[in-house]
Amino acid sequence: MRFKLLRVDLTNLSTKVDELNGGIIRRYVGGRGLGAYLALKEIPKGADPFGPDNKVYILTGPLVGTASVESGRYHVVAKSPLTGILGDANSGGQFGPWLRFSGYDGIVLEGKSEEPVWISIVNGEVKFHDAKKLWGKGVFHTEKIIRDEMGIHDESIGSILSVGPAAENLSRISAVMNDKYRAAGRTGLASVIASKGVKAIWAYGNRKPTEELYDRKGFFDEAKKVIEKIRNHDISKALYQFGTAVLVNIINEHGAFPTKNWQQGTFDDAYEISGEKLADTYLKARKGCWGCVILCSRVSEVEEGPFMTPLSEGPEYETIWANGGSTMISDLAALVKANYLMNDMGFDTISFGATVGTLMELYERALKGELPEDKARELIELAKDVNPTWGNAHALLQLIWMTAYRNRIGDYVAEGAKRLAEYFGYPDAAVHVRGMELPAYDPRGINSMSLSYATSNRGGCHLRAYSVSFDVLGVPKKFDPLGVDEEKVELVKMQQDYFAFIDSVIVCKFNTFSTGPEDYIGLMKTGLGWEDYTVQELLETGERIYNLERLFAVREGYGYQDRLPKRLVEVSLPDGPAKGKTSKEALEKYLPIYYDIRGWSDGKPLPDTLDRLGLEEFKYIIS
Amino acid sequence: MPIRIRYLGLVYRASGLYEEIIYLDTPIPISALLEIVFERHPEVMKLIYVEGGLNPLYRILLNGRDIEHLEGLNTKVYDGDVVTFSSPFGG
Ligand code: SF4
Repeated sequence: MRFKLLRVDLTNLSTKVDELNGGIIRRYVGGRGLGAYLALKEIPKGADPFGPDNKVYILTGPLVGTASVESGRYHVVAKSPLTGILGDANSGGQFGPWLRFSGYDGIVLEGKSEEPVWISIVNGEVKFHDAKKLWGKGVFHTEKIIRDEMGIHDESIGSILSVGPAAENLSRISAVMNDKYRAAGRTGLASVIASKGVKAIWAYGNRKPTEELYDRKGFFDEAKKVIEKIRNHDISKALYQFGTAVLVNIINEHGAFPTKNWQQGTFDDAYEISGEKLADTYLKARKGCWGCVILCSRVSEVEEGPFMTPLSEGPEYETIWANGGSTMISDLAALVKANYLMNDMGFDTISFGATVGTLMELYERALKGELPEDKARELIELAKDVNPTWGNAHALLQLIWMTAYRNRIGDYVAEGAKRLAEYFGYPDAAVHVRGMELPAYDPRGINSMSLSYATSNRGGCHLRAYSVSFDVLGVPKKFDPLGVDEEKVELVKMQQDYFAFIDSVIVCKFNTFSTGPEDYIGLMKTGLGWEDYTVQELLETGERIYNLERLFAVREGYGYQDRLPKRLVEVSLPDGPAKGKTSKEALEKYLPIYYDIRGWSDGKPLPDTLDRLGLEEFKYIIS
Repeated sequence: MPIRIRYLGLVYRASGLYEEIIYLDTPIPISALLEIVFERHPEVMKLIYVEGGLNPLYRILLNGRDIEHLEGLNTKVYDGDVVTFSSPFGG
């Protein structure tokens, strides 16, 4: 397979095409892996995330758009303005396949345009368009204007990636949006795209990636087997019925639903914002990304009342938790509305909600006199017209606009929880790893997540290793979420490596509940002609990618230390089944074993590890 | 003595309820409680009972603790306990 990479030089508004050879693809696959490799080679050490030296890699993978298993995805990689190390994010919808149909397997945005532009890619032809009239507009309106201009209004034809006002105003918690509601949300990479002067990318074309497969018939036979496995699995059925929001009640029952900015593990009103409640109230339809058989996406509408919201996609579990549990907002209609507005403004809904939760805690502490006096005064002054108190849904909605346009307190929320809490003199209120806000599982109640979070290369994330699956659900094997068990370490590492492959090939991670690495071997053999491909090579590829990402942080000189925030290791949960628990014991036990298995020392890969993984060219970083 | 029973996800669909209270005279093991629940909600039994026992993707919790990490089906329920039937999920 050859990987066609479109390099877009924004400084000169010119393009060139690189064809990456099969050797590179076999080692890094595509998507996240290829992005990590290119970023480590091409983004200079110490580059300003918003400077012309940073590059944005928008990449598909060899399975994307092949009618295989939920392969409607793409990956974005760049140096993150939120964490200062390598950032990456993945999105579904339709943009990934349409990018391949347009003639390219990936795009690299380089340099910086003086004037805002949007880019159209149609059957290999690239054009730059003036985006001045789009600048300042929300994602939905941007898409409408571009579709008007392209004369294609059927939203299943062609696809648009865009950034919202949040990114234009360089919010570090902005999300790359596509197909209106889908987000490559984490690590704030939309603001890097905006910093280069790019507002949107339109992709359309007639290329058929399926026709480029090595053995089409064999590939379809393999894909059929995997699709049947996914379609018939109980987890896929549950995802169809309730979406990811089914987790609200489940995680709350386990006492691991971070509530009141991680000050509690249970939320009394969890049912009010649950997937079950959503299904019985505002849910109008279920939807899937391109080529999906699970259809986990929700389509909701609030028909009346103060939070009236038009028919739109979402909300998902993480969005509901961050903007509901973390803030103690129990009005589901308000969360549907917030989700709609956050998508339009282009926010990472996890980081946004988590930062608002942090703000609410800071505001409460300011009112109680628990912040430095000058900071308390400043915060109260900046936020008094919003009144960001626990459970205040109107404050949440108001903050979406204020943050997108960096108005008053919104100017500080736009920086993310860590910078917000540091600025107002109470850093411990920000619950983050490597500067990125943690998602919706409290590791004090699900202790394998302490290792998953602490060692996540992109910062606080549940998608590097989703160890909830074995601690809570029992897949592949049930563990006690409160029990410290060394076997969990091996599983966390295995998931990290496997998921790195999944994000590179690229298919939806929800496949991995019903499939394992062995299910992808046949697809790689028939699709790419890698006839000697094995599970061992697949996992080693994932491990290579995981080490590459870590090397980026080592090279920057920070972000490789595997730690959890103080609140999780020093403050025990006050309620629920995990009452009295911290993450300290588990993390202290797991981390040395993890380093041993990884071949790392104090968070840095050892020379032998790099040799074993064929990463000799990067050994200079650790010497 | 009241026992609060919660049905989540697909089990919620099968029972048609999020929560109900069952009154018991004395503490009983979960296995006995299951019989009461299955009698009230045959659809729940159809869902979570597979050949050879309970479907492992449907977890049973007592006060938020999976009964597998307590005493399994022998775990006894007492006055005021919360028993949860949890559904498969993904996130
Ligand atoms: S399972 Fe959900 S996120 Fe994954 S491809 Fe399907 S709709 Fe998209």
